Amino acid sequence: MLNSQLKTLSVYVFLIFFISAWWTFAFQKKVTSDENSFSPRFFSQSKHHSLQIEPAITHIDRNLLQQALSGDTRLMARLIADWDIDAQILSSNGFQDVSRLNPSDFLRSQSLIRLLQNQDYAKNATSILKQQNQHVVDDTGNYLNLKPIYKKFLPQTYVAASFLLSLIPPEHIVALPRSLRDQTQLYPLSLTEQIPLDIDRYNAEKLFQAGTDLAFVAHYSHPATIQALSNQGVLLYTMKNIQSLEDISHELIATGHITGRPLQAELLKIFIDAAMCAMDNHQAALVGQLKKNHTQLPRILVVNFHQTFSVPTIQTLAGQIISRMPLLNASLQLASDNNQANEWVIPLGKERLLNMDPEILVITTTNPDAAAKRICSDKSLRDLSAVRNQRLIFVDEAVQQSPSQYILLAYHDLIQALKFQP
Amino acid sequence: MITNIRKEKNSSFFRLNILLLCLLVICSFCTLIVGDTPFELIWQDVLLRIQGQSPSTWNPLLDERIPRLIVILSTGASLAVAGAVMQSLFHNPLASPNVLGITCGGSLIVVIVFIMEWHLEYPFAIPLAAFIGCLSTLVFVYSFSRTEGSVNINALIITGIAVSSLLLSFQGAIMYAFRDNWILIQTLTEWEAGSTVDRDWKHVHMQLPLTLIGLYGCWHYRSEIDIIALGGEEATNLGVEVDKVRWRLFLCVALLTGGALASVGTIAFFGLVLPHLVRYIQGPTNHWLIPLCILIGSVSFAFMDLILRTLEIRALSTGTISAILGGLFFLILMRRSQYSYSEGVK
Repeated sequence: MLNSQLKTLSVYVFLIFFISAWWTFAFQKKVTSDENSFSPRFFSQSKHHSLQIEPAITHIDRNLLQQALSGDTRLMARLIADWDIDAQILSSNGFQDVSRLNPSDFLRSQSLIRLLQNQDYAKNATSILKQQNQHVVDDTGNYLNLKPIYKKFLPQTYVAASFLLSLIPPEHIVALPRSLRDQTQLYPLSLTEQIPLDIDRYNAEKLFQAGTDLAFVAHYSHPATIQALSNQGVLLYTMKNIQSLEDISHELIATGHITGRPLQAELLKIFIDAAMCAMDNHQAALVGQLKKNHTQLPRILVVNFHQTFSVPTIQTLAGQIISRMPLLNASLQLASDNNQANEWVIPLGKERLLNMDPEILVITTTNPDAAAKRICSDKSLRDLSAVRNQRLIFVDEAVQQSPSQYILLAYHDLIQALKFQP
Repeated sequence: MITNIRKEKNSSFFRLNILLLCLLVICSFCTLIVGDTPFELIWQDVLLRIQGQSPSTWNPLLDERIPRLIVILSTGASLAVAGAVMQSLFHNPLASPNVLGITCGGSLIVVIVFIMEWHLEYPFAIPLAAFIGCLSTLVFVYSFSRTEGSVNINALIITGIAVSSLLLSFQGAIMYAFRDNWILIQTLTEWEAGSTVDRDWKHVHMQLPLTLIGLYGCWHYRSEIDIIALGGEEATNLGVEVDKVRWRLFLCVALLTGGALASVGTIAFFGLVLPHLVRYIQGPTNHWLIPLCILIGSVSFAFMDLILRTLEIRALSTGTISAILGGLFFLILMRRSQYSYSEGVK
């Protein structure tokens, strides 16, 4: 009896030992010299050296860009003017294909800021615009009468919240999407804390008490929330699904009309166009500089990283930004090889990534530390040129995937990332 | 006469085994060949590595395709064998890791591991959690449905379904609470979908020790499983230590299911449908059922993975395609059995 029990016990002990030994052997920490010396380049805020491009043109300051995008109209006008001068300088220095706002938009931006600086003029201009546009049509085809003055708004989507925070004072915003408050890199706490309510189904009564006039919703909004708002008599404006910069401009202008800030919205729209031109020019200047230095263009790939790698397609705003960037040759090649018209991302297996062997790997992530740790501890990725040469650049995922005017910061971050010399 | 029938059966069984082995070799070969890198290049690098001259530390064949193949074969075999053993132990064709809530138990604990991020520091936390979850659920379901020393089979299935729903609702509640952490949600969705993308040696190490012990245990007790299938009392009279064998087989099933869950994720219906298919072809005896389940499980899983990989169907994972095919197959099986039953009544 005792022998049998001992035998049984020894079998269990042996099996536990077998599994523990296997796992200990397989998962023991192997600290190699590579791992110790590995220090990937972090890039989420501009705290790094960069390749100097065309000293005569202005550096695009990320903080100023963000400040303008969050509604600083004076700054918008100043930057538009600076960038127009930059474009002229580049043209005069012999750069080809320089992007520039068309003259009427440029003049309009400057006249808009003058109107906005004088309250009486601004009121007049707004009322004229209101007479010209007596209604807006939302994406479901519903007409929204602009005659009444709407004062309290409920942005049910990030994009609507983003526009409203730029256009109107926070006291006109009833509540915010809850997770938007976490994106403090885009929406400072000092601003979001002025709006105490979260958009939540459990807050329906509070939202009703706050006296919402109009809610901005989208096709992907939670149907029960839309129904609840509708039951409370809140007017609904259904925004387009933001899939391009044109969609951003379109919805921005509509939001401006609805909120009674058409001039600010128009200026912001022109600013977005101007900033895109300015960054296109910076990129062109960067390519020119690389060519001037006889530097061969490195293979650069932009990837998303969670459990696995993936690449954004042209269906996403990030993919469209990448498609504007000839320097991202590896990403563009991958996109053209995989014409996945309906997919948002292309999964990228390690084998494929290793075959592409990018020299610079731009990684979109919310947690650079964890991503770096995972990549560094993956033996298979150590063969990548980008990993070997410590050319891993991390960009903020919240910015890269922002479906709002802040997508410009994504473009800016990618350009800054490209200024690293291989 | 009986000798002739036995000879014929042995011969058909032998042919089936050969056929399955051939399919296994073909599927494995294709899994190793199909990929983005031309095989000649990979092979050259393998040869260089053998000579210690390879400039690369990573080879698609040695470091990705072979471990992936091992994971695929282990998972297919594990789930099929776990299902077969449970169906025999509980004398019920519906018994399977999924139906009895075992997978849900393992899945819930693994979700907690993902949330706590223990797996980043200790990769073996995932298989360990999956094993503990699977075993505790199995023991709970079994104990709960056992009354006066015997298990009521209907009660067992109903308990399994109830526990399954309960665990799923716990998991749903956790996921709901973390719904704003969409990176975690994406990670869990990818894991739950049952994907074989980017499986490497880490996953092999997570799964293989559990699978080897589990498969060996089931193989070792194959005769006892047959005898227990006759009923607990008969088995005891025939000298089988029913409780001991049953407990050990529970451990084996938890090891097999936990290992598969840890390395690939949730694969529904595999453990339910394949044993039926094997019994349909071969008959109810477990002596050959277990090796056949190992073969058919491995082949089917490798084949599904190969199809998805070759056709580049990215919207589906191996887990979802397995659930779709398995569900359809099971419905057809049910329909056919109803049809023959109604004919019999007439």
